[in-house]
Amino acid sequence: MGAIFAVVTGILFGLGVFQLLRRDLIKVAMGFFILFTAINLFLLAVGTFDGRVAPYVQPGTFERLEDAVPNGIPSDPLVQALILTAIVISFGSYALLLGMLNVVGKRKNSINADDLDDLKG
Amino acid sequence: MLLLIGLPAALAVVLLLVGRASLLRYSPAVLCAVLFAAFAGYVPIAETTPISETVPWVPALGLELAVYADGLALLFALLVSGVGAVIALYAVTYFDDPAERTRFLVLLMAFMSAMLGVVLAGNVLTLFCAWELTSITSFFLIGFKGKKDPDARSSALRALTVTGAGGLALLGGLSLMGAAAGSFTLSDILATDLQAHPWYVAMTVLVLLGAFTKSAQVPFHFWLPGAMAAPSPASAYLHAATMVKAGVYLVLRLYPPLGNTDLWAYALVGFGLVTFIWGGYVANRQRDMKGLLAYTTVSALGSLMALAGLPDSLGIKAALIGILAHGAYKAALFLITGAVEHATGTRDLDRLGGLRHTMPGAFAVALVSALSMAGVPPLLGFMAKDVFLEAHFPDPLGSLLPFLGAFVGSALVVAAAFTVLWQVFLRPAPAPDAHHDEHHGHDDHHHAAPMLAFAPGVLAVMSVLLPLALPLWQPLINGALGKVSELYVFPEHPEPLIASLAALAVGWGLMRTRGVWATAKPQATPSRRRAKPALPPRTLTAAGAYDALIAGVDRVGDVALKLQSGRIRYYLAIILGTLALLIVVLSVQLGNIALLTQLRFSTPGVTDIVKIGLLVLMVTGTLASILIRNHLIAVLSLGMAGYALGGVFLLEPAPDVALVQILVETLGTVMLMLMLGRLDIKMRIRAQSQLWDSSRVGRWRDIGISVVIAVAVGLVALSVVEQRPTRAEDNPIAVWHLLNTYPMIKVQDAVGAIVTDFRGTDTLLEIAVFATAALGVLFLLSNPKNPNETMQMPRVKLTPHDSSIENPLTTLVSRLALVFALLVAFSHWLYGGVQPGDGFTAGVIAGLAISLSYVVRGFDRTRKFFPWVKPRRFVLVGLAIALTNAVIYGLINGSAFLRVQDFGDAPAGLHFSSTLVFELAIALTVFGAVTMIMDTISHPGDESTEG
Repeated sequence: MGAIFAVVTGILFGLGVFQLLRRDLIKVAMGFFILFTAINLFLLAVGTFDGRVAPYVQPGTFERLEDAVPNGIPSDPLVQALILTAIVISFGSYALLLGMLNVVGKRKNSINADDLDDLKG
Repeated sequence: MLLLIGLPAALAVVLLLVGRASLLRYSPAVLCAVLFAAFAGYVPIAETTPISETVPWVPALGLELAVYADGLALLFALLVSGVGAVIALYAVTYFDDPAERTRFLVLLMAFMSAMLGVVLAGNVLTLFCAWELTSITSFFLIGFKGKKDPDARSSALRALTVTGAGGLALLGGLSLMGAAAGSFTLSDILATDLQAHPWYVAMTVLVLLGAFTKSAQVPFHFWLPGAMAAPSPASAYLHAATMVKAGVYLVLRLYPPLGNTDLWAYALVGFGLVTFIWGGYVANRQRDMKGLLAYTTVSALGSLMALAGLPDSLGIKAALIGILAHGAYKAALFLITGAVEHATGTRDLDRLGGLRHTMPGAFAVALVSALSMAGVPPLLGFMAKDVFLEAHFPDPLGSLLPFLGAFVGSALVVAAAFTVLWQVFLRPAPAPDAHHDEHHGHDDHHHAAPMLAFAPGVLAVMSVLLPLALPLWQPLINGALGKVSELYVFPEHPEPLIASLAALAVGWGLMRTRGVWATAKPQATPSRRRAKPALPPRTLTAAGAYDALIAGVDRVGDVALKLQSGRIRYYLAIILGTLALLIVVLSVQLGNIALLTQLRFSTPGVTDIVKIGLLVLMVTGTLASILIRNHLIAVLSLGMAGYALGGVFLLEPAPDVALVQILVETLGTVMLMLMLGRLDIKMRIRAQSQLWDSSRVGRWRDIGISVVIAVAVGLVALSVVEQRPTRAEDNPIAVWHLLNTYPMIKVQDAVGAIVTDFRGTDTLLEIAVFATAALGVLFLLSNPKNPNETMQMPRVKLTPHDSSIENPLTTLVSRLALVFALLVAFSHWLYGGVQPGDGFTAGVIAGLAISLSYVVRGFDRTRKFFPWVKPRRFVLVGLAIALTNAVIYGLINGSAFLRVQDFGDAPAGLHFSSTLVFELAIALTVFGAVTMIMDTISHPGDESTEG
């Protein structure tokens, strides 16, 4: 399963990069969103042991994992916490990106990346 | 003494601040005189023991602000401050424009601090720093007239490049010396004999490169004549008396650890004498008075280098006297040049003449100085030339060549000195050049200012007085040599005296026959501005190499500029393409390709098949969002991909993540759609129609880059996934978190425990970032004239845009959804410890309900319906609670930052702890941020006027 996740991560990354290279800035913003998604998928894939149950533990103090989670192998909680943070942060940057896109559109009266030629020397 | 070094720089700052206050214009001269007196006071102490002071600076790097003042250092310090006083006095009159004068004095004082730093440094690294500072201030002084004169600019750049490159070599040499001696402190290095060290050749060559470039030795001399673009006082000070002698100072200073070897002797005497003779010859071919003096300076520096190279310290004393003599007469002559140019408007030797009548003061000074330069007894220059010839007599290196070279060079210098006197002052004035008068007239000429003759006069007096007052400066020489050494005006042996007088006679003859052997190169435009010294073609080797180098850099720059298309997409394509190639190369090197052959495929279960289906959905949705032109439909298909990922999370099983993913996906889609609504529809349609307008090449280039990146990322992901530990006992950190969740945090949700406690600081920062992003959106999109406008109470007027889909049914749905959402949010918050969901999801759910209202009712009516939604207040309160909760228990019972506090069990399966407070804070902050974003982007604003 992990290998398939990895392959899909690669495909999504390629699609995201392709979107980044579009002229339409809305498509570029979507490209970022695709990249965020791909990375979250990757984080999930690198989680240890292919769990079968959610990482919820029994109340009480235990020495062994089998006692704390009796129903089966739990999924890795650490990567899930990382993904949670990643989702929130990527949403924040996505919102900021869209805000900038809006400002650019208003100032230049265009959302075509090739019209933003302020860098041209 | 550190203080003394810093004083001129401090005065420079004061001058810079106070500007043109005329009272202060004499302050640099006064300060120099004070410094001179102070350094003179140190001489008796330093005669026996060097003075040293140390203030640590960066001890780990061996850097320290250290002073090491022995006789040699003090001799230079006296030269720097003494000549400096004269120059500062002279400059006050020389510059007519007060702004220029201030600028010059500031630079002069800055340079003076740097130069004192070089000669008094007690640590070779600080010496290097000061050395570079002198190069930089010299750059500014050469380019002083750079605004009007492009030649001055290129000369300044050339000087900086050559001396800067030499400075780098010097740094290398000094570093080697420091490493070899085990210390960068000067006194330690001086006490070490490095002559037998294995790195000796390397360090000597590097140090000499630094000294040769600074002191303008052939073949690096070409920058010095160009440096005459500087104002005359700067030329006199930096490029005759002090800075160019830094190289000489360096070789004298490092004589104990490095000197007295064959390499040292042949390098210094060889290069020195070649420079001596070459400089003297080229000087006689100059038509520019300043150019002539510049080349004789090159020549004099050569003679000093040669003296420093002689074995067994034979030439040191002669070098010291030579430094003093040259400083006195050459600086005076440069200043006279400035006075002549000031009065006549030209420096052309062929046009000047007869000035002994019109400028008697200047003539007197020039007479004494030029005679001293020629070495006429009993002036200081005569003394210097005697000891110079004596040091080379009869054969210190086992050959007569050095002595012959010294003799020829001396004769050439004599000829140059007499040329100046004859051409400028003694001969009758040439017939007025009609062409010249046409251009300049007489309005350009000034009356000779007495001060311009008085200041160099002080130096001329020195040329006369010093030989008469030997006992006065005897201690200085003793201190510099480290032993008592007899000073005398007339040498003990007759041979040097005879040679000296013979050189005088030969020089006189050479001057009379100058037209035959040293024909001047005709100058194209010998006007005042263009009177730069002509470089004879044969000296162009090093200068030509330099010019070719600069031109080459320019050409490379042109190529680089062609790559700058100004289109962001191309930059991105280049960056990403390079990145992709790097990753591929690394992957191949690390052997990740081999992994493809050993993939572990287990038989997929039912869950796996559903997961694969969801992944296919993801890829399809994403692909559709790329191919579809219409923005709205593309956004929706991208949203589908996001929901599919939520499904994958759910099946993992990771219910918390799945919940957040689905919520954020919803939020993101809503946000993007609202945002699209803000953009001008014509603009969007234009962008949509241009989507596939790129050329075939461009499209395949993008596809190529994307495929390479996909493959590269896929390979990296594959290798990571395949190499991760798959058994619980291989990953103790995950197991630790699972086992300690309940005992430490008293919750059952391991993910929630990590988010709120184990990695609680992360979460604290995360909500801060989220709130900041929301603020960013607010400031980007709100009215720039009145940023508070969007946050104020609703305007009464309703626009059709705002109420487009509002009807009783949608209002009812949105109201029910809000009630329901608030209930769900409440339960997420309370039961986050035992169920999926937490403060974050609570905040997002409540925020989504409000967002729905924005979509349905529009901005104004949403504001009216929910007056309690004050996003900024929510964010502020949320963050305040989070921070207080993180810190307060530390104040109460000393527990760590964010450490969980257990408040015990409560009815209905609840458990109270500080985590609950933290979750509340998260919920409030996130709710505030989400509503802030939605509020901002659904604000109608004034798009009608802006668009």
